[in-house]
Amino acid sequence: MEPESSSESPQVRRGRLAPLLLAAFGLFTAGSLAIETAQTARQMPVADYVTAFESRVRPLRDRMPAKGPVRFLETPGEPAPPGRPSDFLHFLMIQYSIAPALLVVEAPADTAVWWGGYGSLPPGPAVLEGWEPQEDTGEPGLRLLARKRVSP
Amino acid sequence: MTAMLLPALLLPVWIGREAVTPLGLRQRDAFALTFGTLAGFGLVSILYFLWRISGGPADWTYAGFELLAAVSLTAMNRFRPKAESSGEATPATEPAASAPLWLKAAAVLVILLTIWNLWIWFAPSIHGSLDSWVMWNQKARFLYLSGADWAAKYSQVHPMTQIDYPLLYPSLQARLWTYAGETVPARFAGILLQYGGVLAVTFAVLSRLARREGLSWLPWAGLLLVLPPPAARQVASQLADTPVAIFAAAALAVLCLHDRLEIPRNRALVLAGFFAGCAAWTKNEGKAFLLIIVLVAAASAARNGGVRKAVRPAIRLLAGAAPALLAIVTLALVIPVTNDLVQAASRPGRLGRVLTDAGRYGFLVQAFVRRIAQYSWGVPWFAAAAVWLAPVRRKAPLEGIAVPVLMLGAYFGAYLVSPWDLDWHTVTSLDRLLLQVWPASLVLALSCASGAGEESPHA
Repeated sequence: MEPESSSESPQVRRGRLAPLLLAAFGLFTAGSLAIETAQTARQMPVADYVTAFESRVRPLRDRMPAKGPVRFLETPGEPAPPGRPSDFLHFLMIQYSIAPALLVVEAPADTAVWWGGYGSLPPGPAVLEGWEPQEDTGEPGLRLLARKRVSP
Repeated sequence: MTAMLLPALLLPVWIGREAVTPLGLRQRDAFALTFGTLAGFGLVSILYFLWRISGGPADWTYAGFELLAAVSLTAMNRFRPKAESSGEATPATEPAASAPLWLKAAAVLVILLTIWNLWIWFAPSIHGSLDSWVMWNQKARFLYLSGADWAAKYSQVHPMTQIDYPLLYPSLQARLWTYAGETVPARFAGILLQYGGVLAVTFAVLSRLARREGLSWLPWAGLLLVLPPPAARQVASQLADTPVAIFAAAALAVLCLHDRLEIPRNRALVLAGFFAGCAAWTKNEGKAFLLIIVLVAAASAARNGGVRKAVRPAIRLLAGAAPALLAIVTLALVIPVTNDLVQAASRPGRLGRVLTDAGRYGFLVQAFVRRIAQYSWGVPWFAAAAVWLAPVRRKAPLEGIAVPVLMLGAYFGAYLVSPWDLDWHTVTSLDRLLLQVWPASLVLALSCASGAGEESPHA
């Protein structure tokens, strides 16, 4: 009795190569990437940046009025295109953190969030013009402001 | 909380199962279950959006609405005249020869290593990449947390967050939170669902082909090639490109392989239209996909039977896409915002300038060729080698070649008019776009591989 393989057509024998090739490719890519990931995982930050920032914004969000948009104020930085704040990333992060409240750059609002960067000093008089600082939540660089009421 | 999420996962399976039964998927096998579940997730996303847009609260009353939908579909199927089912193909049930154990073990190991990689990438950015939380997760928050004024409020969000994008993905996320009663950080489950969705669609299609045509390694080859870890990095980013890829693969497989998948043609067109519609309800590129698939199906019918024959497949595809189109049109009416690429293209003089800029064409051709050839460590080459090594090769379906090629053409056109720096734009997005068409292209390429003894030899 002849061995089974000798009765196989060349196409069938060639066909056996395909799964071998694919398994080798799959194991090589997955294996090398797993090694690379294991090496870089040690340097990855433990805390998630967005979650950490959200927890800083939460005390402000809890004190915001239920209705109306919230104005974004910042210590003037690099010039930005019209309608776009200088620190656009932190504008987006604050918007994400306070959703569904609406964060606006120029539209009128009775409440504002001031962002001055990490560990910055309290908002200066230029920023505060027309605004009144609310309770300090102890988060450096973040402050809730309310529109100053003008007596009639 | 986990118990509350159980109906959130089971109801789409039920709804989808009942929705695809009249469309030729009445069998109770893995293929019908996979495609039914996929249809179910697409449907509940549309239902949730329409519920919220019409003022429905984000609480347990919504679950009652879904339950009602499931019961109604079941009742409709029970009372449907039996005559409609006559003439449907009966699926082959003979078990095919099993793939070698070592191949299955390699595929499982690759999947486990990929999941581990996904977890490591996910941990330091549980909200996903910047684009993910700005463009998708934020939409889900507005959809879930806002009241009836959702649209009025969301239309004022900063336009750089792409508020014109469709909402399948955010609706699914907000729906999950509605069941859970809070914005649970169950995002890794979402990543696993996306990864599992790509694997399931690929495996379901190729295993049904393998069972009929006797090439036992085919579905396992699909698992090894469809999302190798370098491509899977996109899944961890929590962007909406993977759902587009899943729906596009399902639509194209049903459209091009319906006879081999044993789905009657007319119903396959409706089913393909539904999945293409879901792709359109996921991302703007999905809208291009829907348009292309309708045009290609119509052109293919016209080629075989004259222009008059072109109308029917187009109508069937659009009929399938109708639920998604309803959601898309509703969103466009309540948030009438123009996309940034369209805005850029409509600036006076710009279109003519970019379309005659030879440098842009040269740059893009180079970028496309390089990225496709190197995609996920050269995985397209391995797919081509697998097909070439198969005992018998079939002719590739013309529609299956035309749709991915035209999709690449659509991406090319979008880059051409892009207002952004081309280098930055292609580096940050071209791999994501390739991911949208890769699973569909792979499934169709591997469908050209057949087992020994197949009656139609390669062309």
